[in-house]
Amino acid sequence: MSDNVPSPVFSGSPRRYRRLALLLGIGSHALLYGGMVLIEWVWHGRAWIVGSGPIAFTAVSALLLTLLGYHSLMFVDAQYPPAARRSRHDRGPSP
Amino acid sequence: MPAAIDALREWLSPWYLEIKFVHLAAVMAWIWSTSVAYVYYLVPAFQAWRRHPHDAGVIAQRDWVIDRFDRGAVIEHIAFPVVMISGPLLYWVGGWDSSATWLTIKLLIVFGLFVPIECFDYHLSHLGGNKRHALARGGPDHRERKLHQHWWFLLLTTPLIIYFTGIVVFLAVTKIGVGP
Repeated sequence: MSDNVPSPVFSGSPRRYRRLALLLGIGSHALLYGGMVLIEWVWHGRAWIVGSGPIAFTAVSALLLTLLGYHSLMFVDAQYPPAARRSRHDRGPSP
Repeated sequence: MPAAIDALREWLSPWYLEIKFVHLAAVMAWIWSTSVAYVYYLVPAFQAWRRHPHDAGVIAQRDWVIDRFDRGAVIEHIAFPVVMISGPLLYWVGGWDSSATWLTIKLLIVFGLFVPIECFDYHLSHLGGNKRHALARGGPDHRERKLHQHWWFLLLTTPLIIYFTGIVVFLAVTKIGVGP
């Protein structure tokens, strides 16, 4: 299609995306749950936020976001399908 | 001074629904204004580059698309400050407080996640990270670094934005009872 030119390689990889997806899922929920604990429990003295329901809900939501994050990173960065299974669509639109 | 603030709140309170209209319109523009460009132009161009990283034609297409995307983000980045002004205004005029747990969760997501994401997005699209500016200031290598940085940003924020905008809109619409 076009000439080849030297270009710096992007540093993303499936292994890195696994770690980053975990970080996204756990980090965002730790931030939000921590904020809720501060506001509800520490500030207002409402203990419901440290009950098993909110903790379980937060854990499930973090897991969901971790899975969504991993698949999103892999799909958006063209890691799906693997190189061996790519079809005629693999190039995207022609310039 | 508190009397003047109370008077202002009193004066604004009949306009609550109009402020809400402005807020909702801005939220819609913020959420959706870049979606078609992102899904159907930017992502395919970058996927082609990731599969063919040294193809000059693919690189030229990627560079053109990201330049246009930087400009297209203007709508989103005008809408966001409108959201950030009208939202707190609604909170204040409507007499909301932290007893509305759904609203506390929503505000934590907005201020804890969306505001930092948008601040970095302003930098990448319009300030030091703008690819056109980066090329003019530091040459092709500097531009390439900024482009990689922008791609990392888009990769990482895509799942966060999809997941948490869904939750924020759900909370705002249903005002679901959370907690005791």
